[in-house]
Amino acid sequence: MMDEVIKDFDREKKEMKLIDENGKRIDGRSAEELRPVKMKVGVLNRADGSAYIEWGKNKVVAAVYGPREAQPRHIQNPLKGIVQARYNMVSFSVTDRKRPGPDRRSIEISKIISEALEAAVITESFPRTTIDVSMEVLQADAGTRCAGLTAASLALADAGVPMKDLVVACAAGKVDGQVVLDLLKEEDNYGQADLPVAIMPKSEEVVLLQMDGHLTQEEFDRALSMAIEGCKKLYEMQKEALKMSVGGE
Amino acid sequence: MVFPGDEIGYSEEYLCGKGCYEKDGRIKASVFGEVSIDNNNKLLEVKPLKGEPVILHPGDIVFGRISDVRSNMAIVEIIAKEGEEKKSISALKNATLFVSQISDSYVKDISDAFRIGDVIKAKVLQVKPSLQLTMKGDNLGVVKAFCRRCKSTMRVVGSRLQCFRCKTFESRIKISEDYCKPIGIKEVE
Repeated sequence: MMDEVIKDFDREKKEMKLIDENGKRIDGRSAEELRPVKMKVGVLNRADGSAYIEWGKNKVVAAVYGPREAQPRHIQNPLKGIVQARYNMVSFSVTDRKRPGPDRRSIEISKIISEALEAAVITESFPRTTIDVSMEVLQADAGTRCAGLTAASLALADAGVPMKDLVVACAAGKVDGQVVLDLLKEEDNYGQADLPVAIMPKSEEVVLLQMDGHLTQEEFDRALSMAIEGCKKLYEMQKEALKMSVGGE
Repeated sequence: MVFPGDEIGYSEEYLCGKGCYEKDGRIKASVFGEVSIDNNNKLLEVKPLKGEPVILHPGDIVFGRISDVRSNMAIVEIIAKEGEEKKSISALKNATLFVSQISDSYVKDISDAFRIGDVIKAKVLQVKPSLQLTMKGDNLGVVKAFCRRCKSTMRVVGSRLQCFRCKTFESRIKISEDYCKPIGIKEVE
């Protein structure tokens, strides 16, 4: 019985074409196209800063609290502030109910997002404090860490936290042997590689880079430059969202 | 309108004020806001369009709760800065208030001035190396006190405080004119 199921699954996997003859992907995008993105700044009243992002089928809310005194005291740094990000997927964010609470994956993502944001925030102005960033993934469809980080950086700007630059994130990857931008769930699951990248768009400094799967040197270089181009498009949207939050121009 | 990271000038030309930082000889914005140029002082600043973190400076008026009373000083936990009551303070919140800073006249015993749990309105004297407060000045003093017997709020009766539940009297050396006035609400004239 089980063997049959696995065979069926394998057949399905082989038959499933992620990119058709015309080079279109399953949702009709071309290789270098992003999913539709919507951003909104200042969605929560009680937080010092907040933002909401809809990226394809991803939906993420980010909230910023602080800078405020870091507790417990031993985590304080007398020379600078710290950034503590918390990435969380709610139980209804995926098709099978996700067991609530932090798991190995979300702890890892929280850590790398904290580090990416800490690179951008001017923490030296707030010794002994913490900036708490909370990201709730309401709906997930691959690329939630990029969506979360992009929203988190908007929320920081909304809170008025001084930063060297905004942070934008976007993923590229390899699907059906072809390098493509911004993978969606099926492409992530059945594709060959996923490469999330976060940059500070003005200086093009990379603040987050991960890779899942295998890419050749040439493919990697192409995927990286593609992701950076995607980040720049998102940066324009971020600026637009910030403008809208103060009544547009 | 500028965004964090946008270049707004050169270090040779201007000084870097609030809301910006210097990198490689360029002045860049660190917050989302509007640029303001002070050509007399050659100073560049970015005025934030969003709220900014609350940082205390000497001279700021703050509200705080007495968390400990020692022989010559009181430890105050700062709750909020006047005018920005809804935002939390972005720094250490524990301040000290020495007996000599309670009032202009001589204070013999600090426990005549406040008890643990009192809410006071005070002025920031010093931020570095340690946070110091003073209660000298108009309007400063105890803004809320609690009965030592039943912990209910006291009200001002003459120059003393009376508990409205058990009617006992207590005194405080310096009661603020803003005693038990709601904060953040401007009085209608």
